Amino acid sequence: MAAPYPEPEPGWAITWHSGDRLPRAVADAVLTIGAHGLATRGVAEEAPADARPVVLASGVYDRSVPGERLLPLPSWTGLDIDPAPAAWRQTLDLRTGVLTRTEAPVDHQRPLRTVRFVSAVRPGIVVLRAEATPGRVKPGDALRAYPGTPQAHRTFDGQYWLASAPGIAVAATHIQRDHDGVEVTERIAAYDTDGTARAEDLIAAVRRASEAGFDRLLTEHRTAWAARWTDAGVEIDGDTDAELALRYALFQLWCNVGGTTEAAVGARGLSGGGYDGHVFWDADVFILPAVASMAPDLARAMVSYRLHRLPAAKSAAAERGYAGARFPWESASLGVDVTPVTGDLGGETVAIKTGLWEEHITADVAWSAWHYARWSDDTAFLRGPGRQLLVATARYWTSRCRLAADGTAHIDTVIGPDEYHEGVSDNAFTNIMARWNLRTAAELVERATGSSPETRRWRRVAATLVDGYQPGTGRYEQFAGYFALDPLRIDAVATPPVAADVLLGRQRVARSQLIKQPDVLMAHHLLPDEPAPGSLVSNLDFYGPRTAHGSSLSPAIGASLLARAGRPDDALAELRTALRLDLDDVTGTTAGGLHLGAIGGCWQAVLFGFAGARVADGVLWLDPVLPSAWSRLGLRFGCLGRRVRLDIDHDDVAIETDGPLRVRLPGHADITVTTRARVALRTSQPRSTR
Amino acid sequence: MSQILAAAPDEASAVFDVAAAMASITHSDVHTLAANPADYPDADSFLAELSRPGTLLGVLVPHPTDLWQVIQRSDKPLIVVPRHFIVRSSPAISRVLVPLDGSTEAALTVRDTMRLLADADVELIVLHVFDAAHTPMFWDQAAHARDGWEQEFRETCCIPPATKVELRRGTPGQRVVEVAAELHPDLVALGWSQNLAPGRARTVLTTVRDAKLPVMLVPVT
Repeated sequence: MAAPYPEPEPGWAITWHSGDRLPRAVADAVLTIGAHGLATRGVAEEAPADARPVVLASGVYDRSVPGERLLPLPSWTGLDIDPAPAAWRQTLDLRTGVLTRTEAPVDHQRPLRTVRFVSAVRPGIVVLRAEATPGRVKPGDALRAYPGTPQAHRTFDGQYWLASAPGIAVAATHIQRDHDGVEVTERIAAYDTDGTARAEDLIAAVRRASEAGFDRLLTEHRTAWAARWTDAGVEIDGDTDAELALRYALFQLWCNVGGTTEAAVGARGLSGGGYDGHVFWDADVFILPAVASMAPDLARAMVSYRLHRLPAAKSAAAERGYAGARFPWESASLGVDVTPVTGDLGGETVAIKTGLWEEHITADVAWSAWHYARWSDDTAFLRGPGRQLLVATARYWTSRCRLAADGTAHIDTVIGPDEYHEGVSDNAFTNIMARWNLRTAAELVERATGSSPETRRWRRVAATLVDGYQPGTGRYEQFAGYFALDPLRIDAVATPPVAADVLLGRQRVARSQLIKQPDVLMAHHLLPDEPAPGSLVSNLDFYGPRTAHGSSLSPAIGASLLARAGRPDDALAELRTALRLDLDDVTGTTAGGLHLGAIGGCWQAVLFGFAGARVADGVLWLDPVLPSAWSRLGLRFGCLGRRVRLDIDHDDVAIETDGPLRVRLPGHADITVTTRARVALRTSQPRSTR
Repeated sequence: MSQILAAAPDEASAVFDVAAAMASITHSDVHTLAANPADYPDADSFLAELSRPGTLLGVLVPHPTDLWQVIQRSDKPLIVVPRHFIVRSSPAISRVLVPLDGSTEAALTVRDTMRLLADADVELIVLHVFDAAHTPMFWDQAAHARDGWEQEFRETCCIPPATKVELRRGTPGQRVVEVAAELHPDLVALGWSQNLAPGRARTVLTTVRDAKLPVMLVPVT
């Protein structure tokens, strides 16, 4: 009976014991499983429906509440177990995508064991098996509604449970049978997250899965996960903790990103209802670049989410009297801005201005589409919908800029990634991103149809858009007037990471040079060729001591920047913080869902930071550097339509591909790798710390 | 039947009102140890009475010399009633302020107390103060962060459902005193480790010294 699901291999298991010091709801989030845009938290089968949703689907929002939030779906994991287990462990097998639960040995009865997975093969199919002493498990209702969702309609026809709500329908059934004195309960459910399937379609899907049987469903599911791990993966000699945490990061990206025609990826993915499932720049800038290297089709689906809301973004720009398209800071089903207008900063009610002023999101969306296309070599996309997107956003920036009498262009009243300083002018990151957007759109249009008055105007505005660069110091001023603020450093306040705005108050941090997360340096991260050559280190040295890392997005990007600056041991220290955010609940908020942006940032730190990978001109650039604690870094990822494997040590890098791939390393002429190549790493030359 | 031990130097002391209120909440009797200055027990005598089986907690005034000896050595909760405190409401305890630093240890110390008070329909207000040692590492978006933070804080600290959570920033002891003056609770309930080494128990020391209302000190068990 136990044969189909052996214990996970070392380095592939996340294990949680029922007596853990952290709240149970944290385990529920950490043990989330999912596929194809449907995910389920690791709640115990007998747990009553509580304040948090169990099952969520990508893009399925409850539009009846102000601002929309992800709709908690009927749960398929509920069982009535008497007596309920007193102690148990849950094991998430990252290699196979299976969550098991094993009760601690109990006198006079067989320990309860459950196995569940969200099929990686059959979209919407979920499977649960429970084994226990006969009579202990009562299956009860196969679908259990989340409290407070009266709109969910449920029926039972004697064999199939059916439930539906706007945008979602589900069917489920279960059986019980005896097997050598063990009572086996098997439940299968089919979710339709498109909102288009009829009840009979869902019942047919459940029936087909039932006929295939648990063992076959599990086997095909494990095979699909094995294929995923050949497409992307990591091995680190000398650091099993980081290796496991990075595998967990990849695992949860696969579980939380998905959809059929598009992928709406909220700040907490589908692992919890935190942040209402709203889509922020986390999706475009932190998650998408990681996903593009794992599963280009998923990255394309993420871009489609934005493309489908381009009309709403155009309306938003027009409503404000601007041309082009303006994307919302927080987005849900419709693509209109759903940012709340008030919030709370450690007990202090504050006005929320991000929806009004955090406008770099518009360039971030354009960047993510461009990054997807460049990384995946999807040139057709950039000739079609990608170009439309960049043109619309370039038009926005052109109209949004203020042209001064001296011929310079400015962007007033914005919030940069820092967010401790609001309503500033000429935020360097915003302006650099807008400038890049203008130039890239011009290039794409001119490549297709030649120069035009509009593209010349874009280039003119881009050329005159100020960015705060000071050649004498190599520093960018984060925004106009920043250098005149109180030069407070974070070590004078607390040990980072720390939410400095909660500790000191909004007014105090606004008067100081403390920043929440990389701002100027975010431009170095996203667009290494845009800032002045050689300016990475000077800005890292200046802004690093002023960075509170009070955003969960911050440490991973800090790690990537430090690695690129040739400081891999410092980078690893920051990466470790990011890697443990959810596994150790260091944010105190993981119960509400995983910090998917930070998770994407971790993979970026390894791929873009330590491996130094980037794509330009159809060439994979590498510039590896390893921390002293790592003797070897093995990476598998997709790039330029190829599967790539890197084996990096302190002396050289081995490159394997499944087809011709042009590769560039510092100090070497470009090479075309067809199957395998080994290249010595320079040891004496400085890194290209742009 | 369980007992609440009360000791005060005069019959009119609010100690007896507070003890009666706690007796009502815990379904206990009040055992009066002294009602005049001459009989007021020394630390050893008070602790001996307090250690009797069935005695749930003690209520006393801050005796000039022995107070901290008693507080440090007691393995049962104590309520310190300011010497000239006057009970102005009936029942004497209908609203309680519970400062929590967010640690599991502190929460477990006062968990049973909170449950007991909540079951008796006493209004609970939990106060958490953000200082350098207890500020979250991350507060991602002020538009959403509190909901998730507070929900998990409630679970970590086993806070009864209807309890209101107040957040402040600053020095915890000072904020406890200020919030007590602002929200008018009848009692402040604090968990503590009974460690008065330099730099420790600052919140307890400040609250007992400056708050103008009874303070319950629950020792870590």
